Amino acid sequence: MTRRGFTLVELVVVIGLSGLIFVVVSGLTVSLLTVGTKNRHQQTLEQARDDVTSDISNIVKWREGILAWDNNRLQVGDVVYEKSGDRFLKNGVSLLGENVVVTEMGIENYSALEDYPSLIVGLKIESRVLPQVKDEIKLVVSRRKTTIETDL
Amino acid sequence: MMRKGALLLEIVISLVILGMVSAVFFPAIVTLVKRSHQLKHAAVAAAILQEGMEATYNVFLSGWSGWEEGVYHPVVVVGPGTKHWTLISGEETALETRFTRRLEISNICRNPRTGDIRPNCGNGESIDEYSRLVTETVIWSESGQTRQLTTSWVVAKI
Repeated sequence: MTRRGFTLVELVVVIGLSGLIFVVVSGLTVSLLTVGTKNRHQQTLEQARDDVTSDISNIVKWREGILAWDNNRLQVGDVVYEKSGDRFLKNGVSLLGENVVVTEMGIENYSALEDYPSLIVGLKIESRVLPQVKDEIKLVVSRRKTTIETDL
Repeated sequence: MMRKGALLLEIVISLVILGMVSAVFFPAIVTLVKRSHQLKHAAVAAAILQEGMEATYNVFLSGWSGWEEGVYHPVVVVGPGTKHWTLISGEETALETRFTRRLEISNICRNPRTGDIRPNCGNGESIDEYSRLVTETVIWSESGQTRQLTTSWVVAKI
């Protein structure tokens, strides 16, 4: 028996398999691209978290001067942190960059000492470009005592 | 042209190649996911450790006496109009569902001549009443393995 070309069944099977492979590969490609973009924005938020944590920690621990706060503002000496709209400012300048949005801010004090607060600073942040990428900053920092009391 | 069984052979070969590729990539993907979870847990543990250090510093600043050698953990005491840190005996478990935190407070000895400090007193050394050694450990379990972060610091009465 001589055969030329393919049978209908062979063609249907090949088309079916090709379709299956296309669906799997395109699904994987899309999810890889999405994960890549998500990771990049997640890294931006992590960087923002590290920057804020280290900045506020150092200032609260060691900066001299008045220490005052409410839910959207923290003042330590001549340094003022505040949530203004969806941005987080340090002395009027954005601390987190343009692509990070601050959705919530809150400060609580867990110290029995008036002069040496132990603050819990909470910030909820998200990516401006990809709002489903979110992060939460919870920073605990106690003001340091830098003067030695002596009876001499 | 005669073709008999070629299509089946091709499919079998394709499946074998697909299997081999999957066998190479699957463990790599599993490792990446596992590593990502490990990093996340380590970051949470570091935050818990940091919180313990800050709370302990504030507690010692609020009142130096009354903290005998032993294991403690920080808690927030809520009073009328105030909240403040204190330490209570024992370790804290199920923190963030998986972490255990313990703060061990110990006396330290100081050499009056050199000022050096160490846990056990040697000749001519005595317990330093103005310093305490705090060792904080955060322990968690992950994929059947126990992991921990530890830090030690000396608090001084000033």
